[in-house]
Amino acid sequence: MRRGVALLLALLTASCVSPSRTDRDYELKAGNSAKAVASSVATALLGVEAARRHRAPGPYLSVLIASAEEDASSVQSQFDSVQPPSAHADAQRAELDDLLSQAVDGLALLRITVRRGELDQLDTKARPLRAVLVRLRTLSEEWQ
Amino acid sequence: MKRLLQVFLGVLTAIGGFVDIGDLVANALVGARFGMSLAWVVLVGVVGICLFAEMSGRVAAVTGRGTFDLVRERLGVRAGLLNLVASMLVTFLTLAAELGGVALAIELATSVNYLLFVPLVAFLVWFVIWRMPFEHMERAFGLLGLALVVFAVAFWKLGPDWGSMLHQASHPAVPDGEGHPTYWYYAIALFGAAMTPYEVFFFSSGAVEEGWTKKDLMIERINVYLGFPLGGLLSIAIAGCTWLVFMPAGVEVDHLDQVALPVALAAGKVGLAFVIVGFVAATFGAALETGLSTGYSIAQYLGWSWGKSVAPVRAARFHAVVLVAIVLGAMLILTTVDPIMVTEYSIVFSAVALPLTYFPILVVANDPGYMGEAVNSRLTNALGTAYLGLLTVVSLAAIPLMVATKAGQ
Repeated sequence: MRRGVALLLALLTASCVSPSRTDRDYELKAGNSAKAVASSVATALLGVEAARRHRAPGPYLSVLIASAEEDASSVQSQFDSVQPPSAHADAQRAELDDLLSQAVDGLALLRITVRRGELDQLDTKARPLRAVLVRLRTLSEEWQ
Repeated sequence: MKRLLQVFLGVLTAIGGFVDIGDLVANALVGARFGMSLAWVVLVGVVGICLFAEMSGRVAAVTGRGTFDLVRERLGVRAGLLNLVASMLVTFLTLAAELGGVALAIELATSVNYLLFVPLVAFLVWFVIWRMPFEHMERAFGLLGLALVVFAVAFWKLGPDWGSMLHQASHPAVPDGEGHPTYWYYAIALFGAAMTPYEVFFFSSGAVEEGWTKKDLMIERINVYLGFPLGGLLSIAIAGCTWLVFMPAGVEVDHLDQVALPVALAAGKVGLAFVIVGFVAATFGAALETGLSTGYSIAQYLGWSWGKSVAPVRAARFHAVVLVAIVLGAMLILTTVDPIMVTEYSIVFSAVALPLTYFPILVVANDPGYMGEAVNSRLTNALGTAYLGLLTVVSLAAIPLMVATKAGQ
């Protein structure tokens, strides 16, 4: 009975951390995370483009950018929960996690700017995100 | 002149009422990932829904009875029950998704969290079903849904390469970076969205509510054969917009707010206002249809008095089922489950349930005992049988593909 409970607990706790048995498996997960966050960043940048051309109002942009931020943050949490299998994977984790943090922080800054009604400043504040997007896409292609 | 106006309004209502949350999400998602390479699925789906909607409308006009009433009588209690349970599960999921869709659409205009709107939306859906005459209800939301034509305008303004579009649509191929299983999974999702079971239940029960007879068959056919294909073009325009804007940017569609973005970029704030009105109308209208469909299906199967044209005191159980379905649908969305995810699952499960929905309609429409001279023609039977084969393949493949692709990831 105790063994059964222990096994169940082990299975339940194991399910909290996504396993990655090989470097290749980890790399694929990293590549998919980069791709997913690149999609969120690209969505927000298209929203910024709409704001720059006065084609979208604040309430809509607020929802669009907040959704993008939420998605990126969720992907980062999931990626962080993946156990890296080797020192090589540790390096990949550090590189991507730094980039994901920059993406999430950049999206949060856009959300704050929109909710303050400072739509004219969005384009300037989105500049660092463009560089992040390029790097995310590079990593996503490299690790697929 | 009055007849012409009736036909015109009927066609417009059919166009505006064709798109629901499933079509919005599936087409936007597919356009962004697969471009126009799955446009053929919309065509196959539209032909299928035209075929079976016409059949179910004709059955209702000739017999004056609802689909489930006849299904139980013709196929027996057990087969009818299996049909009822499968269809009800899908219709309930769709109802929940539509309620969430209305709330999400209102959030786009207000930036207030959609969950706060869910109870209000659920109340309004129930209230409209309770108070508004059937014809006004169907027409008002169908016509407002025409605001989604702005997707066609936006598509044109985005300046597509028409040659490339036609080539992609006529030479379907799996895009680079996508696997065949994922391609077929989304083909099934798109097909499920186009042929959602509730559409025929609502269509045939609505025909009974409006008291259609054989004399109305011509108008019914014009509505179906003109309105639905034009509604299908609207679906393709949605996919076209996301193809042009999102595919080059590597964006995947996960939210309703993203679906509106290409229109904002192409047509500005006015275009966005049209989209939001269209989203609200399309999802609200579909919530009314799915809510009513739950009541229609159960009441018809159990032989209860049903319909909006019947005084509520005489159809109390029908109205109770509708009310309970709306409350449960709202509760499901209030658990904070993502309405878009509910939509995605509802259209795939809809694909699974397709043969159970459409087989009985084909059987009844082909039975001279019910239909007399209005029985299916040979061509209709041949097409119906071919579609039934296709629906069976789609139904069998849906769940394995869902597992194999981790729901299209």
